[in-house]
Order: sequence, then structure tokens, then C-alpha cells
Amino acid sequence: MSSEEEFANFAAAASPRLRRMAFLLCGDWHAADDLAQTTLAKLFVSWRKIKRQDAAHAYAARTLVNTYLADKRLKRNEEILTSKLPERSIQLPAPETRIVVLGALATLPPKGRAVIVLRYWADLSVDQVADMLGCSPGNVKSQSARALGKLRAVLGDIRTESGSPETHGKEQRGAGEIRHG
Amino acid sequence: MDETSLRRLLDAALAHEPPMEPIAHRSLQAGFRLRRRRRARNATASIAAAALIAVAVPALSGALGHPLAGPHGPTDAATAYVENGSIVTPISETTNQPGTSIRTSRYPGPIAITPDGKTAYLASGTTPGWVTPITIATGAVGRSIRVGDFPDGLAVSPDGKTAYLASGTTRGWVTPISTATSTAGQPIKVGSNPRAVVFTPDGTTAYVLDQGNSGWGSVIPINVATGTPGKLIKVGHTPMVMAMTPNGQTLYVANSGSGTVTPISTGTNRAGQPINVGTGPVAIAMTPDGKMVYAVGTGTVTPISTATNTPGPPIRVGGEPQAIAITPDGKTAYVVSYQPSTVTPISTATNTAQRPIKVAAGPASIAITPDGKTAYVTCSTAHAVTPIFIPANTAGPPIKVAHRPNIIAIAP
Repeated sequence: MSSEEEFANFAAAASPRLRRMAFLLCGDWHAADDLAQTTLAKLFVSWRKIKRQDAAHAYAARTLVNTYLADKRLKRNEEILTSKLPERSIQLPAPETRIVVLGALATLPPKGRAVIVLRYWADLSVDQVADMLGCSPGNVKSQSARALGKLRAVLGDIRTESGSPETHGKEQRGAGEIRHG
Repeated sequence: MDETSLRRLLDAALAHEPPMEPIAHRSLQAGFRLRRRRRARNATASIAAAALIAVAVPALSGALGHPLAGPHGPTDAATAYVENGSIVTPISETTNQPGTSIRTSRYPGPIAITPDGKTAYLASGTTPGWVTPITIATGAVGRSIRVGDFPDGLAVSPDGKTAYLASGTTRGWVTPISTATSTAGQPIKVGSNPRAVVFTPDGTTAYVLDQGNSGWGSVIPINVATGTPGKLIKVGHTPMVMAMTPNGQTLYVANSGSGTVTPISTGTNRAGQPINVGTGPVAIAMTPDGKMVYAVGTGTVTPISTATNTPGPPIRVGGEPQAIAITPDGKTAYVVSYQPSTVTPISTATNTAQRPIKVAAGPASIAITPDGKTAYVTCSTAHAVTPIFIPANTAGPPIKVAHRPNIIAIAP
């Protein structure tokens, strides 16, 4: 298999997850596609090196987050893009949940948002996130504490806005349960 | 809100995920462009009266059956990626010697020179892209201007006041740059995958060539005074390059995926009937009098009369032709073939090919001096620039430049 075919296989396998992670970071599916694509393009350039290290997926997540953060640093004043919501009826969570969560994420600073996504969606440890973002574990902890506080403030009354049984019960347990460590 | 419920909320945010666009395929394309620039190293520019600038961009082409390279695209199988910065090397036309190299930002792309010949603008970088001004007389490098990701088309307006840079691979932007202050203006959203920009001779309109996400291309006019894009004009598949008649009335777009050339009337901004030129075309050039357009296809060059927009019989040239330049007097077109390494002169009076001229290995691009005495051919494999003396059509000894030169531009 040529190096390009190998990369194409990897890209096909990795892109759905990368795209979702990108969406949680930027809140727009088109921008998420762009972000995932830029990430994969960067990986392709160093593909020979990356595939030898056998950690392509981890490297992809790291590249994605850092591309997102670099972009935010440079385009600080730019508006966040929002797209029209696609019309597709799926029975899963009530649309309100989705919108409220996205709105809450949008209130976070880029790094705080990245920490939340990496820790609580990608299930990475504090040390892994610190390594990925190139900062100290302590910084990751304080970032996530601050971001969680903010999320709680916005999402605290999500149960009153959405009737989703998925989140209802959990929400009532209150805000103090998240471990910051 | 514990960890599980936060995880669930984040998953809930992902609901209504739209169908995936072909990210994997497009990232390969973008990756090729990135790699092309990363492999690119140096360039060449002369500080003497007649100056030229070459930038090394060994381009790739044809992966996944998709023409990925820009107008300067030899197939290059090199695998060594050198991670150092890019270099612009000046070559003096009088001595044919390389001057002191100028270091610029990485991954050099297209070059545009102001009409007064004082400043060269070099697009480079990937995410983000940069435009770097270079003062030709002194070789001084100005502060780089940040532009959009993947810069890929650069042109300076005829009055020399504005440079337009097109960038992006999924969302296209054109960034106007003031040449007086070297600052970027408000980017204009244009198409999705723009590749080239050309100004009308009166400078009122800029045309942006967009390859689109699917490869089906379009051309978008931009009103330069207001910075507003007009209605898009559909062209063929995988358009690569454009050429405008000197009177600014017609724009020709070479659609490499369709094997056609689309004429666009700039008066009405409507596309005419596509002109069939067989396979390719990957490069296009117009005679200075605007009467003929030459489209470079696979192994052939097709002359097109601009009066009737009809193709003449294809002119056979060797191997894989991929770049073309026409002398200022319009008498000869020089066609660069990557494999074998030759340049074929075509007499425009008779549309016949003359004996091919051997040049150094891996010729990529060509530019002719304004006095029409010398053509410079960047030879990427040989890491050299071969001068061809006109009208004798003899090749001089290759001028060694540091690494893989590709793009070349001449300052008057």
C-alpha cells in the first residue's frame, strides 16, 4: 500500500471523530469540516513520520486542537459562524438541549472550551490534555474549573428549558459534583 | 452536572450532524498543496535593471487521478522534506549569475510584481497564509501580511495600488492588500476553492477563478472599487488558469478536467460556448496583440483564434508540456515539457513546432524578459535555471540555485 493510500484509509477512519471534536470546539459544522480538513492536511505532510510513531489518532487530536487555538488567537475579533440548522428528524435529544449546550460552550474562552472537550468528551486525562496543549496540569485544572463554573451557570437550569429525559434526572443532582482534578 | 451528564450533554450538542462532506479526499488535496509548498525552497531574483525572481515550488500532480498542481506543476517524486525556510534568489539578466539569496517565510507560492517593477509580493505559508513584500532594488524583505489559509492566487492591480490574494480550500476568500501601507483590508468571501486572480486592464474588475468543492469551477467578478463580488459564472471542471485579452474584453479559462477553454465576455460576464481542446489544458498564454490564445494540453498545444473562438489544429510538442510563455513581439511561443526536459518553440505565424531545445532536468516554469532576448526556465530536478537565448534558441549553461526552483517572475 502506498503512503497516500495508507493516509487515505486513516483519514476516512479518523475524520468522523475529528469532525465531531471540531464541531464541539467551534460550534459550526462547516467550520468543523474546514478544521478537520486542515488538520488532516497537516498530518498528511508529516505522514511518514507520524505513521512510524503509531499514534496517528492522538496526533490528529493534538493537531486539531492546536489548529483551532491558533486560529482563535489570530482571528480573535472574528464572529463565530453559525449555520442554519439542518432539517432532519431524529428522535434523540430534544433540540433545545443541543442549542443550550452549544450556547453554553460559546460562552467559554477557546482554551477553556478545548479543555472541556478534551477532558469530558474525548475522555483524556489532565496530564494528557496538558501535554496536548503544551501547558502545565495545574493550568488544565484551573481552566477546566473555570470553564465548568461557567457552563454550570448557563446549563444549571437546562432541565426547565428542555424536557429531555436523557438529561433531566442528572441535572437535578446539582452542580457541585464535577471533579476539578 | 457530573462527568457523565456533561459527556451526555456534549453528545447531545452533536445531534443533527449533517452528512459528511468528503473531508478525507479533500484533505489529501490540501495536503498535497501543503507538501508542495513544504518541498519548495528557493527562488531567484535579480537586482540589476532587468530582474527576475524565481521561487522553488516543486508541485505534484495527478494523485487520485485529480490534477492537483497549479499552473506550475511537474510530477515530482521527491520525498525528502527539508524543514528550513524558503529562499528567493535573484538572477541578473546581464551576467546570468545568481545574487545573494533572500530568506522569506516558508512554503512559497505565487509571486506578483507591481507594474513599476519596484516591489515583488510573495504569497507563502499554509495555515495561515502570508504575503511578503520584497523591494527588488535592495532585496529588502518587508513585514509579512497575514492572509487566509492556503494562499493560492495573487495579482497586483494595473495601477499598482492593490494586490488581491485568493485563499482557502473549502471556503474561499480574497484579501485586498494595500501596496502603499502593506496592510490587508477586509477579506471578501468568494467561492470555496479559489486558485487564481486576474485584473481587467482598466483595473475596475478582478476575476477570481474558483475550483469549487466538487471540482466544477466558476469565475467570480469582483468590483474593485466596492470590493463586492458579482454573480458567479460557471466554467468547466478543474479550471487551472486564466488569460485575458489586452483590451480586457474576453477572459479565457482553461478547464483541465473538461479538456475545454471557456471564453467569458467581461462586458456581459457570461460564458460563451466552451472550446474543445482535447485533454488538459493545464496552461494558457495569449499573444500580446490578443489575437491568439495557446492552450497547453497533453502532448499538444492548441491555438485558438480569439476573433472566432475556434481551435486550430493541435500542434504536437514532446512529452508532458505544462508551461508556456510568448515573446513580447508575439512571434514565438515557448512550451516547456517536463518529460523529456525540453522547451519547444512554436512559430505563431505558422503554428508549427520548431526543434526542441534541451534544458536542465525537470523544467517547470518559464518567463521571458521584457526585451524578449532571454527566456528563463526553472529546472526543478537540476536545482538550476536554464537561460534560453532568443532568437538563436540556444540554451546557456544552467544557473545553479539552491533547491528545486519552480515559479519564476521577471521584474521589468
